[in-house]
Amino acid sequence: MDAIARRLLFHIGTVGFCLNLGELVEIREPVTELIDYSQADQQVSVVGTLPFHRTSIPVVNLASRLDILSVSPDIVLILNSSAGTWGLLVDHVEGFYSATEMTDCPVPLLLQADGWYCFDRIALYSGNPFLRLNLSDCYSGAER
Amino acid sequence: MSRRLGLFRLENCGYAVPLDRILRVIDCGFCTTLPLVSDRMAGMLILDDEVIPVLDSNWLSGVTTGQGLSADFKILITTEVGTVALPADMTVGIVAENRYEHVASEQETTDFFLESICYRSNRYRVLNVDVFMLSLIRP
Repeated sequence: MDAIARRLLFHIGTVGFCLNLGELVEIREPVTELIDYSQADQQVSVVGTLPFHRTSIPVVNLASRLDILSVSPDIVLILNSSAGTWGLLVDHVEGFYSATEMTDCPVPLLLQADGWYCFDRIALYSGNPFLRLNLSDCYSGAER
Repeated sequence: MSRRLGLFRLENCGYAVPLDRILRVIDCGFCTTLPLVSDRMAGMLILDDEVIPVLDSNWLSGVTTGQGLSADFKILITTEVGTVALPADMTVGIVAENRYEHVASEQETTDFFLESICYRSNRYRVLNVDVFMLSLIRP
């Protein structure tokens, strides 16, 4: 229960994001040297694979899909979702914070994208917005 | 009761909003971008734990795209889809109907600028908020 009540705040480029602590498995850094870029699958934003517990997991970079300028992402958040275990490349981890310190707001209709969408709410923490990622929309597994 | 208008300027273009649609005028305010928004939107304004969409400047013809967030003022208006912020470089004031003149439109008009007025030798296009919001929702 305690894990659900806490959230991880992080940045991709200058854009803030958050997710429930229960969705996080581990944080790895630095990772640039560890990623096997030959396994990239651009269709699902996978830039490569990362060794993880005697197997390898896909690493997803959302920056280009979200049209965010991400200079040198070198941190991978290892996540658990319906697609299994996978990594999300991010630029900066802000820290863990209690969800009770945040105000959740819906994304206003005029700011909702027409097509693909990976955040459903905006959490405000100290007046700063963090987009709440919907992990199943970020990565749904490799294309068959 | 006569209609009153709030007058604003954005990059040398004047526009007017019916006073009954204006909630508040914000000087600066914390604005930031949001991924994947339409090109009509500049981003969002965070105010009193509320996320308010900020329109980009390109909805006014002849105004440079991308000036929505950097404009000095944000005019908060009430709409069918909630509060929306319009960018402005300058606030001119509030005028009653007997202080301005209706003028024939010379510029290309859009559905949401149905009329123009002249106040102290300057032209202002009057925004029809409801029509404008519909055009954003159903472009």
